[in-house]
Amino acid sequence: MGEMAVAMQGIYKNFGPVQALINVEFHAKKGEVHGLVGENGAGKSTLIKVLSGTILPTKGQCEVYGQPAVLRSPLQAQSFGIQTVFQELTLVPDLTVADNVLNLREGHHLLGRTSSRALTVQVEKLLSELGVDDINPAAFVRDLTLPHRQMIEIVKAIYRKPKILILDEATSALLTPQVEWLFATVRRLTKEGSTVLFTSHRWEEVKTLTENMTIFRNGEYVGTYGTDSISEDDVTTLMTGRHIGNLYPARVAARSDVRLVVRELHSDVLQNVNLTLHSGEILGIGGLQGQGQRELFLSLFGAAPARGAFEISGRAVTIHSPTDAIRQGMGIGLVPEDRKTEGLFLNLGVLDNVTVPTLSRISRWGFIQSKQQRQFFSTATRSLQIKLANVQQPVSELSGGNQQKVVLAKWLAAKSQILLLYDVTRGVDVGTKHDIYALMVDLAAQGVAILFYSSETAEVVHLAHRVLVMYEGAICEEIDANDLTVSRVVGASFRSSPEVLHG
Amino acid sequence: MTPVENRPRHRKWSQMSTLQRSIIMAYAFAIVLFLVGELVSEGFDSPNHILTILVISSFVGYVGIGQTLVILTGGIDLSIAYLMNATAVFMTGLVASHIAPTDVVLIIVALGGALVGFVNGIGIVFFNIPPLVMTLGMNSVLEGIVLVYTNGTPTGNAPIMIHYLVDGHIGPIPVDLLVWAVLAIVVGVMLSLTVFGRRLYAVGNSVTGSYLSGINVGRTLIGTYMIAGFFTGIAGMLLTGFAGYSYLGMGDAYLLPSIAVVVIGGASIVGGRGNYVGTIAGAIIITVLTTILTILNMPIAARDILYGVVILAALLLYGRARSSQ
Amino acid sequence: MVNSRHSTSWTLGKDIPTLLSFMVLAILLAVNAAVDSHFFTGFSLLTFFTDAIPLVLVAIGQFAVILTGGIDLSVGSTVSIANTFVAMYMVQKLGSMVEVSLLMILLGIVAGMVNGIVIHYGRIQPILVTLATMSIYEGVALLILPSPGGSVPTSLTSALTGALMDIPIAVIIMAFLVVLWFWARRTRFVLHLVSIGSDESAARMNGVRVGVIKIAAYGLSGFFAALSGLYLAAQTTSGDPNIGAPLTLLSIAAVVIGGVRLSGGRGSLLGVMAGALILSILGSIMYFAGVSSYYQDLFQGLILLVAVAISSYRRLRNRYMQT
Repeated sequence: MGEMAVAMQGIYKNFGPVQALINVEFHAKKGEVHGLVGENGAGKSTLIKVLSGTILPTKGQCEVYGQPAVLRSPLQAQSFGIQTVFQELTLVPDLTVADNVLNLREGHHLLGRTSSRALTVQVEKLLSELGVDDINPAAFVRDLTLPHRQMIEIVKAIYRKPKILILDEATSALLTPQVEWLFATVRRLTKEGSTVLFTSHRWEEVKTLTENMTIFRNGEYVGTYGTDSISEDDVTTLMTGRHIGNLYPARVAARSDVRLVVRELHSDVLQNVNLTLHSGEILGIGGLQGQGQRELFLSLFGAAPARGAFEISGRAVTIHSPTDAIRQGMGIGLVPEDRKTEGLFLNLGVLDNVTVPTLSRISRWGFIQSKQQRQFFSTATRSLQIKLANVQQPVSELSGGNQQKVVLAKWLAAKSQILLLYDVTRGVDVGTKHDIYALMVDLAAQGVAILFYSSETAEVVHLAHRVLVMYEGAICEEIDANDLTVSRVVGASFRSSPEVLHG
Repeated sequence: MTPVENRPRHRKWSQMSTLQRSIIMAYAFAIVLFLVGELVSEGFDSPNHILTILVISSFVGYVGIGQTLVILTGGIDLSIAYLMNATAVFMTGLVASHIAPTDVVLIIVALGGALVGFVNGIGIVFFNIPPLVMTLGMNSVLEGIVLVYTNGTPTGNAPIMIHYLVDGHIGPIPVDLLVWAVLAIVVGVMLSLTVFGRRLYAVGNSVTGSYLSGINVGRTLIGTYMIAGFFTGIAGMLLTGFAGYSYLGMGDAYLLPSIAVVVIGGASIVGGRGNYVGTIAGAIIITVLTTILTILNMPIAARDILYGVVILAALLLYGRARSSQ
Repeated sequence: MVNSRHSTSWTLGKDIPTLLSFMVLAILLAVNAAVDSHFFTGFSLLTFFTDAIPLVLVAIGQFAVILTGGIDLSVGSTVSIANTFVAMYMVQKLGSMVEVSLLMILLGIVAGMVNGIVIHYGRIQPILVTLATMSIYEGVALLILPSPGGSVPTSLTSALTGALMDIPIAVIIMAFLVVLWFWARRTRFVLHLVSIGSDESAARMNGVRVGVIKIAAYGLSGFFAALSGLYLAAQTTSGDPNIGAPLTLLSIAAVVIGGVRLSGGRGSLLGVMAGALILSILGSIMYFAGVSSYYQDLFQGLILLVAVAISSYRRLRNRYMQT
């Protein structure tokens, strides 16, 4: 048995009343690639934050290469040789690539200066050593594409010769050739003795890259398994604590009448998107992250510039802004990606949050009719079971799951007939996920047409009637009910690009 | 199943929202200051003196209306000083020149205030200029306009109507306080009962969220700056009633207090939280404090210092940002 | 494929906001030369630079703070503190001049650092903290010198506002500041200022000690404000507790006209100096063109608005979506 790189035992972390980690253990051997697997909110991100020094655990022991380690800051974690690439990027947009890679952390003298030319040359050399030749080290990070930023983030960590490299969803923004590059780099690092901890939404990547994996569920440690000795179905069962069959409600057959037709939708990102959405249908959108799904949802809602023809219930319409999309007769509602900044008004009460899109329907002469407002509110929230102290309670005080229900309630109040649900279960607890699944199926049964994207492919597969897979802004494949499996959708997401993962 | 309201109407301190707590603390602080006043000078809390203090509070209270609205959207209005000065000099000047009947002048000048707010809003919405810079530039432009229009010496006096509004009494009650009460009710109703008010709060909380909820963000912001300009214009006109005439720089002393009273009243400087009830408390606190310091014969220096310390204290007490995890 | 397209040198060529401020300054200089035929021949130029120095200095301090995404409304009051302090305590002796200058600078730094400390540890918005300390520092200036007066050693005046071998001291100061910037802009300290203003949490993740750097930025603002107060004292040969008041908003205007992003992370000191000179030259132009000085504020305001409108204008339909 090899030397232990990381040994964590009895880790607890509380955020207020919420227990994010409960008696978690974690062990990784020197020189291995170790996967951390679990649903959103299962605790793997929290554990990574503990290990990278960004949060302090409530209690628990941690040893790095046999040495007890209390990691109070990222700097301290780095002194143990731990480098982390986070899902949300930590590059400074207004500095150049070279400054970001080399300059920020090095040395301690605030008045020390570096020539930008020397630095650029140095970073250019580093980049070419690592096989990255399409990034200009003198460019400002703000001008880079998202995949390039993610690569720079990785380069920055590797440059510091990490003994332990943590890649937290570091592939989420990468395109296939770049994923291939990353995998080759990781294999070289482990050969040189580094340990790599890896998380990814994409099962294929975890399977391809890791030797062992540790599974988490609801903030608890489930177990550590050899990657080759465990099947995807077993992992899913261990992750969710139940069989897939129990997780999702049964579908109800869609109707035949067409609710929404989109023809030849083009934009900076989208390429000739055509789709037809029936009433009562849950139409899934699949594909790797960042293939234009967000732009598609925003465009359908009038919130991103795009050209194309729209038909709602057989009538040609134009949608220039969300105001148009929400209007009665259009009846579109969007649950956006980031509920805190895009979906909610944190200081406003629950009642007001729910009725913001419908203000003009519950008012007379510009005055809000309080009785009507309450009526709209209770109709909208009837099926949602939001836990709250009173209707004036600011939504900032609610849990993530309840907040997402408030966002959904906005569109139930508006009686939207077309719902665009973008990653609606992101960061909510398992109980709420269930409620949301049940609600979706229920709404579909009532004839609401739903367009549904999720970063968890399994959700799309088990809830949707059919799935459109997107790649680089275009719909590359349609998969219908008979064919719907996770591996089929994931396969389609990758097939659209050269087959590169195995090697 | 509808959401359960499992709490009675009376909420415990710990269950109140940040804003409610802030406002209660602000009023409690105002009362404490009144008690301190009585200790310092007997008769401070006599009904007459309280009314006097409230009348003085009303001026910064008037100026605070526009500032409250703008801060609720997450902006700030630095053009207040010379917008007040502009409406004041134009009112007295136009009335003195007998171009139009007094009441027409008053209406035109108040609409002029709204026009200035409209321009602020256009700059902020369509040219994407940060509110701080837009209103700073506007203040400078208005200062120039005031100087050019008056040629350095404003003319004319406050019309009788303005005098009456500021100085008159109905029985023992100063008309000024009735004016303040009416304006406060108008603003309060606008903020809490109208669609516009809801949209204003929504925009202050999240511009993107508002846009994705179908709110016309630009229109809401421009409307807010217009209404703010209108009220600030009125404040400038009423201020002439206090002195009897208009003079250069008469609004300068009100710019910073207008921001202070809003924040002392529990509003968040980043927008989305606060109301005019809090601003009223802020106006009273600032005025009582100034009065006490004057009674104590404090030099201006000490007053400035204490003034700053009180603002800092209020901020430390309830104006702090949530700690980052 | 490696194409060697990596231009690494001086990047002003791409820095459009700064370039814009230089163009405006050049145009105004030309206008000034047109209305004042003696502009480039000595005295006018000397006066112009000498008059501009106090604003240039305050604006540089303000620049350091705005680079971090903050704002300092107390600079004007700090200028007044330094100004009254010098007028009150400095006498015509070398020892006193050095001693009082150092103390004054220390006062300025402390005043600034207090802002930074309250902002960082109190977690209060910079605009509010400095609004409060503006009042406090104004009070301190009034405590030192309740009404305009006091006196300043004549040798200080001649040392700071005169000329050295026919070159105005003011020009030497500006040249020094430019050189200082070329040295400083690549220091880790300035990169950290930029990082904080660009993305504070990213800066923190990269090991930037955000608190320390912020407090230093405000300290720097106080430092430059104190220098400005000293220079004003030398210029006016007396002290005035209200002398700094107009400089607060002017310094913000100078920074913004200079192409610095108000939310932080982007800007050049050269632009800031250009911004300050633009605001100063307007008075000179109007004087020589015989325009009433009443128009000065009007033009200052319009230039600020036009400059910032040009640099902030974005024609995007979905300007409310963060991308």
